[in-house]
Amino acid sequence: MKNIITAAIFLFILSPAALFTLGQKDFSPGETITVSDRVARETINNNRGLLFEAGMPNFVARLFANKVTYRGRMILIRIGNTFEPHYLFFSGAIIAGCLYLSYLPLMLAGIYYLNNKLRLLTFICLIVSLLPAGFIAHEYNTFVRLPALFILCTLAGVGLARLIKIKPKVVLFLLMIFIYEYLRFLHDYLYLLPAKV
Amino acid sequence: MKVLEKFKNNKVSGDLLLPFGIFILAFLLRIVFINKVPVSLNWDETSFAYNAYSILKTGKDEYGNFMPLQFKSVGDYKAPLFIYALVPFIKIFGLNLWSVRLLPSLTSSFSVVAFYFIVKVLTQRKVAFVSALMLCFSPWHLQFSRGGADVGFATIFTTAGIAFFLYGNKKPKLYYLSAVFFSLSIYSYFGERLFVPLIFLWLLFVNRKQLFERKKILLKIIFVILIFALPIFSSLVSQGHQEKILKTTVFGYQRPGEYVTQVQKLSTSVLTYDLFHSSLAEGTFGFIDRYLTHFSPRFLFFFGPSEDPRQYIFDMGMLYLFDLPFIFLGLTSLGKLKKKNRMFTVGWLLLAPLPAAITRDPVHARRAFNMVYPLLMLSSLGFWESAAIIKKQPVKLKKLLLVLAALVSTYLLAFYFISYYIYTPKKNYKGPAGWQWGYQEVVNKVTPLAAHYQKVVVDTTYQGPYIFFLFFQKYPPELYQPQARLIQADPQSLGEGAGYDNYEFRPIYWPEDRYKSGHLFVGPPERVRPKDIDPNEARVVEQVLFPNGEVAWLIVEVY
Repeated sequence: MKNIITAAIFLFILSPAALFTLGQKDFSPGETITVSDRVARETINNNRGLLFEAGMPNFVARLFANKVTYRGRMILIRIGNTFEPHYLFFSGAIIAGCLYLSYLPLMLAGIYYLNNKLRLLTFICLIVSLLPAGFIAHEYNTFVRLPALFILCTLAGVGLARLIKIKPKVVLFLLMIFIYEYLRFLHDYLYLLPAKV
Repeated sequence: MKVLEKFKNNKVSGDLLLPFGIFILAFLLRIVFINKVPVSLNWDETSFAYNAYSILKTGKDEYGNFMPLQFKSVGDYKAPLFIYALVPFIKIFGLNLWSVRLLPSLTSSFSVVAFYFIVKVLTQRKVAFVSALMLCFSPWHLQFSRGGADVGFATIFTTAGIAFFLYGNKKPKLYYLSAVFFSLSIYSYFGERLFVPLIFLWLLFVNRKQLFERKKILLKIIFVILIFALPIFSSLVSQGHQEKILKTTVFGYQRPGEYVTQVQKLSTSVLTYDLFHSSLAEGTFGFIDRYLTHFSPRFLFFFGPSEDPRQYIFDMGMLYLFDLPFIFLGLTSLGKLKKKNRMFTVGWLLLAPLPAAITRDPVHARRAFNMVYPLLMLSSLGFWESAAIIKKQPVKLKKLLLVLAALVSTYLLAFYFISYYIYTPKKNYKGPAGWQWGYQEVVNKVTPLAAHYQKVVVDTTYQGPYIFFLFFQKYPPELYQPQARLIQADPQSLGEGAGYDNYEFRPIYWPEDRYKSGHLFVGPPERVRPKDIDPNEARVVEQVLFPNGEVAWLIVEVY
C-alpha cells in the first residue's frame, strides 16, 4: 500500500498536468454551465421544430428535446472528456497531455490487478471527483480534473507495484519511454511553449 | 430471459431459425426507407454504380480499361469487387438508387448472421443471440449498411472469413472457405487490405496448437489464399494504388514548411529536434493519438466522427450510451472465456482501428468499422453479467432495476431512430462533405436544355458533378469512354471529370465567364452570385432549392 501511494504521488507530481497547472497563477475553474442560455434554447427549439415538421406529437417532441436531456448530455460529455486520449496524453497541458503515454499500460495493468470491489470503488471515486468538471463551461479545464488525474496515477501506481515484481523488463521498457517523454515535455515547456508553437 | 433459456439447448432453433430471424430483422432495418435516408446518392455511390453500368454494357470501366482490378474513378482507385457485384443488380433493377443500395444492405445483413456464429463459437448461444440483436440495431453498423458504402459490402467477407476459420477448428474443410472469403475481402475494400492479413495472422497465432497438428491443411490454406489473392498483387504495386496510399495515409503527408522551420529554430540543437520533433517522432505520436482516439468517449458515445457529415449521426456516438457499462462489465467477464477465445477477442478489438489510424483523419468510423464487432460482443457479455447481478437482488429492487433499464434502453434506441431518420438528414444533405443533395434535380432540369447551348458549364464546388450527370442521364458508357479525362490539381488530391459532349465540369469564374455567350452555367450562388448577373448579359433560367428553401443551384444562360 505504501509503495502504491508513493508511486502514485511520484507519477502525479511528474505529470505534465501537475507541473503545468500548478505553475499557473489563476486557479479559478471558470464559468459554470447555465440551466438556460440562448444556445441551449435555440438548439432545443430547433430540434423540437424538426420533430413537429416530421409529424411527431407535442409530448414526443418535448420528451426528446428538452433542457434536462440537453444539460444532462453536456454534463456527461464533460465528464467523458477527461478520458479523451487526445486530451489525456497529447494536448491536456497544451504542449503535452495531462499524463504521459507510458502511464497508460500501467493504468490498464492497475485496473486488471484490482479485484472487483476495488475496481467499483475506484470507478465511483473517479465519477464523484469528476462531478465538478461536469458543470464547468470550459470542456477541458485541467485544474478541476486534478483529483481524477491523481486517481488515474494511483491506478498506474497499482500497476507499477505489481508489474515491477512479475514483469521487471516491461517496467524497464516503460521507464525508458517515460524518460523520453519527460525530457520531451521539459524541452517543449522551456523552449517551444514560450513561442506558443 | 425464459424465452432465451428455451433456445439455449435447442440445436435446430439455435442454428437455423434464430439466425434466419436475425437476418430478417437486420435486413428490414437496413432496407426500410432506404430511398429516403440517406437523403440522396453521393458521388461514391454514383461512381460505383456508373462503373458497374459501364462494365455491364462494355466490359470496361469509365476510362475504357477492360475488366480492371482497380477503378480509377475520381483518382481514388476503388477496390473492384463491389463494382463487379453490382453488375447483376443493375441488370435487374436498372441504374438507380435501389440497385446500388440493395447489395450492401443484403451483405451487411448476412454479416450479422456471420457475427452470431462467431460469438456462438467464442462464447455461448445466448451471448451470440444478444450480440447479433445489438448489431441489428447498432448505429455504427446501420450507418454503413444503408447507403451504398463499400465497407457494408466488404464486411460479409471479413466476418465470414473469421467465422469459417473458427469453425474450421472442428471441421477442417471450413478453413478453405475461410481462406476464400478472406481473399475476396481484399478485393472489396481498401481498409481490409491491412486489417484482414493481420486478423488472419492473429487467428493463426491464437490457434497455432491445432494448426501445428494439421500442417498440411495450413499449407493448403496459404496456397488457396495466394491463388485467390494473386491477381490483386499487381495492382497493389501499381501507380494508382501508390497514389491512393499517398492521398489517404500519413505516408503521403508533409508537415508545413513554416512549422518545421520554427520548431527547428526553437529546438536547442539538431539532436533534440531529431529526437523530439522529427517527422518520425511526431508521426509516431500522431499515429498513437489517432489509434487511441477510436476508443474515446466522444467518438464512441457522444459525437462519432462529427467532422464528416456522411459518417455521423447527429448527437450520437457510434454506440449507444447503455453499451458503456455493458462493455466495462464485458471486459471484467472476459476471464470466463477460454484463453484462446479471450486472446482472439482482445486482438480483434486492438487490430480493428489500425486501418483508420494510419490515415490522416483524427477518427474514421468507416475505416475502423471492424471495431463494432468485438465491442458489441463485449457489450453482450456485459449484458449477461448485469443480468446475473440483477438476478441476485431482492425482488423489489430487481423489478425497479429492470424497469429502469428497459426505460433507458428504449429511450436511447428511440433517440437513435429519431436522430437517424429526422435530425441527421436535415443537417447533412448539403455539399461535398454531406450527401451532395441536389444533383438529381439539377440533372433533370439541365438535360432538356443542354442541346440549345454551345456549352453547358457545371461548377465543381460540390464535387463530382460529372459522375452524377452520367448516372442520372444513364449516358452510354461506350460514348463516354473515349471522352473520359480526369483533371487533378495535383496527384495528392481527388480529381474531376473534365466533361463530355457539350458538358464541361470546372470551377465557374463569373468575372470571365459572364462574357461567354451561348453558354449555360450551372453553379451554386457562391459561384454565380445573383447580384452579379447583369440582365443585359444573362438571366437565371432555372434554380434548384435545398429542402430548407435556400438556393442550391442556379442555372444561368449567357446570351
